[in-house]
Amino acid sequence: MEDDRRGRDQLDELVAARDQMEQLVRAIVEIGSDLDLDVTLKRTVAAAIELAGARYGVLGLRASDGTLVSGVHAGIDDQTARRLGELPVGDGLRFDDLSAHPHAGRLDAHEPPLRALLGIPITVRGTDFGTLYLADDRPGRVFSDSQETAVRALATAAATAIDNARLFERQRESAKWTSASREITTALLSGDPQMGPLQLIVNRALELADAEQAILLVPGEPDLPAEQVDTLVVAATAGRYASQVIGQQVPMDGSTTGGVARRGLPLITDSFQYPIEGFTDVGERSAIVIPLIADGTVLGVIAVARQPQQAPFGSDYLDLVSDFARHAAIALALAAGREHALNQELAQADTVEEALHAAAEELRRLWRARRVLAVTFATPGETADGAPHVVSVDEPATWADLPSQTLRMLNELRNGDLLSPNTTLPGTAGIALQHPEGVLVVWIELAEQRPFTLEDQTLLTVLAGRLGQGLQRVHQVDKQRETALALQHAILGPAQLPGGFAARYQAASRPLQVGGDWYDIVDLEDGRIALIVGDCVGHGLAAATVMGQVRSACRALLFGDPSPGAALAGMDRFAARLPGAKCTTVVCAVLNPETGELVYSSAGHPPPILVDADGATRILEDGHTIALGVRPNWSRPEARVTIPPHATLLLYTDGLVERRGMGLDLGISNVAEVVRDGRTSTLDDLANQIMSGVAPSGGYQDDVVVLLYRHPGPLELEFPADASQLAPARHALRGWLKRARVNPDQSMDVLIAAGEAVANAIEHGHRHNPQGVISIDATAMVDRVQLTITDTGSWKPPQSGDSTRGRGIALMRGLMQEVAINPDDAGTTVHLTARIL
Amino acid sequence: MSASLTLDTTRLGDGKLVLIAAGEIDLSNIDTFNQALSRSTTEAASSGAKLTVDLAAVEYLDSAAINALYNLADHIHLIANPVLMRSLTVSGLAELVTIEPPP
Repeated sequence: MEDDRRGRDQLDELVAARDQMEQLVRAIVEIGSDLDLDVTLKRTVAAAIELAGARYGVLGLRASDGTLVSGVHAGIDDQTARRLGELPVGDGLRFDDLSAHPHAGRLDAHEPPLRALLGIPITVRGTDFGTLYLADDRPGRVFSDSQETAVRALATAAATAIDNARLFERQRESAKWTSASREITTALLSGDPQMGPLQLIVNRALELADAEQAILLVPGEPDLPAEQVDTLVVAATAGRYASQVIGQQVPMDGSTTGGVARRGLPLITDSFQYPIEGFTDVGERSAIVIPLIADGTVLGVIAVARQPQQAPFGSDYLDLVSDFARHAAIALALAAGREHALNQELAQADTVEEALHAAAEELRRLWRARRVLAVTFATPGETADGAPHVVSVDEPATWADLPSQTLRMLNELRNGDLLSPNTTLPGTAGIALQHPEGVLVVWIELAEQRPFTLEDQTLLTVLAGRLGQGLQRVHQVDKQRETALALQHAILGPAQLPGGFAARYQAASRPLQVGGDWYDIVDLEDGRIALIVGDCVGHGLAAATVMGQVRSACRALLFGDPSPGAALAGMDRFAARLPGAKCTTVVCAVLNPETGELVYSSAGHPPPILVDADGATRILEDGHTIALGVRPNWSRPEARVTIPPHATLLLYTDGLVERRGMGLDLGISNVAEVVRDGRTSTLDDLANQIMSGVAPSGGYQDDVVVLLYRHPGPLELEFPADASQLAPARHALRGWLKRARVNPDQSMDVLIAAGEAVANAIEHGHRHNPQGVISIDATAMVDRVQLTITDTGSWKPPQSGDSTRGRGIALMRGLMQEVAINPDDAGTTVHLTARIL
Repeated sequence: MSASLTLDTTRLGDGKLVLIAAGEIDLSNIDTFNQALSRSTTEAASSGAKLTVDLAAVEYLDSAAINALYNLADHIHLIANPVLMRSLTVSGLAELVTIEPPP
């Protein structure tokens, strides 16, 4: 009988244990099934009550410092629940009768008094997250060992569920902040935000932090460097007392917000050092203060305060809000009109091409990228077809140079949505945007294989948007400029120089490309050529309009009487009557291109420089007198010089030689030295050497003209491809070689070599094409003559064994120092170089 | 218009035949030069002698003329202005034909 009962009890216990196990498993599954923290907590309490068969359950949550923060309870009043929650449990505690316990007094508010109590800690990731309390007031009701074990098991499972729910919550929270950051950037990007950027930032911060008040302070002296700023001003507010707080000033020193701005580090506090009426005097409450930092500069400070009864900000909140603040700061930096480098670069660009270069350079600097490509896909019809135009910094590249993977990505971006970054290829980022003539794709290749973060993408989107707007603006300005430039160049002088001349012009006043200086080359009726370089007083548009008239007058006068002295005398009368033309300086020279004879006269102008083939230098100071329009009927002297073959003549304006603190003579001799050193260069190269060689370190401050002539000018012949033309062409070339003072033996070599090239063109290139044309260009340098013979036919260099044609080419190669024969579809070009002594 | 070229033949006191050219020889008159050259060479050969081609008054000749002279190199010797020597040498003709300066 006794055995029987024991057996039955054991069986009952086993059954009860099995039931409890089932119950436990069910509870664990249930509490883990939701990711919402509140739901998880409630389910935990309910399951614990059920497992322990208790009347009351409380789950007290603790902050990281161990203080009770909030709780969830069932079947019990708030006050008892809070008091219960304050009961420390250590590793867990169990009382059969709580009234014997020292803490009982604090819990006696409950009626009838609590008796049995079970307290089990919930540990999440090694920290005390809270405590699960179960209590009962029924007499004789106690918690058993097995119930305690079951509740402990439940607490462990609850810890995992709570951890997951918390992680999920933080992620959801973080996503909310991230999307708010994007919203702010997008709003600013649209160019015309409905709301000021600062207002947008505080509104979002208030909403997301579930706060009572949010304020944004900016430096009171926005133009000063950050370290010199003395005060912060509340520039935007949201939440309570908004109108009261706005505009209040806070000193940088001795205020909490100022400290955050100085140190650049966020903090959580419930006390502010300096009062802000309507913010700090509202009562003790938790606030988070975050600096807005972009590009290393603190642009402002956000302070967000919760209501006193709300849970204080946890330190994990700092990460969330700091991320938001970083985005807001970038947006602010752009929107607050702080001239971002990109905008600045774009503002300085004169052409779309320049803007693209500047932008690519800026993006490369910003991301410390290895390479940035800006690829323009022109809309067909807008511009010439062909490969997309590639701007590449800092490694030059063309479309054909790019690896296939990059080409694929570029094409994909071009066909995708505008202003949506693509970062699928690690270490790279691309974005497409509107280009005035099609679509522009910007492609960034980072120096290291780091990921392109969300922040990077946001910034890239903003900058791409700005770039698109900037390009559009530059394009419009560029179009207007083209028109303006065409007009300016028409005022300035000849669009095309005859052979033997080179010119450079640089106006002091940007963006004008014309000023008071001018140069002109005029073919006179007697076969001579007039060279004029002049300088009207002043710079800019006013000087340019005067210059245009003076220049035309000079031309007209020379057509009437091709004498420099007479022309200047005429201009004297003209300048005296034209407002603004008085004191114009000019040098006018008339050149006989056959003989090199030069007649010249100067009106107050710096003297021309003549450098012979051997380097001997002459400053042409004769024929000089006062500037134009100063004295009526002033006598205008003329001087003469013969320019020897291979000598170089330089006419210029004072902007080239005048330097503050340096005598004019020194300036002139410096320039003469550059000409002397560059006398073996081509005229074009020499012109560049002069412009760069004597330029002041900050660039020319005055208008500058450089006009170069080298004697003799090149020979330019063009004639039908016919054998009958050989003799006259030879005659012309012989005459030119004589002017270039090439000795008879060498002349013969050049004549024969050139004759072979022309004969080949006639015989082979144009046998079936009598309409063909042959041209000969011959240029004299100090130490060599260069000939280019071009035809419109095709004659291939000979196969070996073709002795008849081969002999002619062998002859060319034997007689000349250099022979290059370049056949192409349009014809054949032969380059010959003969060194001369 | 062809380049100016005059061609004459004469016999010296010793009976040697001389072709005297004056002016310029190029593509425009090479046929005339060729015909005169082969006719005179044949004539000289009939008496078993080489033809003397006197180019002393030739101011210009191109590879077409040099080719013509090459073709008859075994049958001629030349008198040439020094100004032409360079091209006659470069072309290699000087190695096959004796060339004298004008007297």
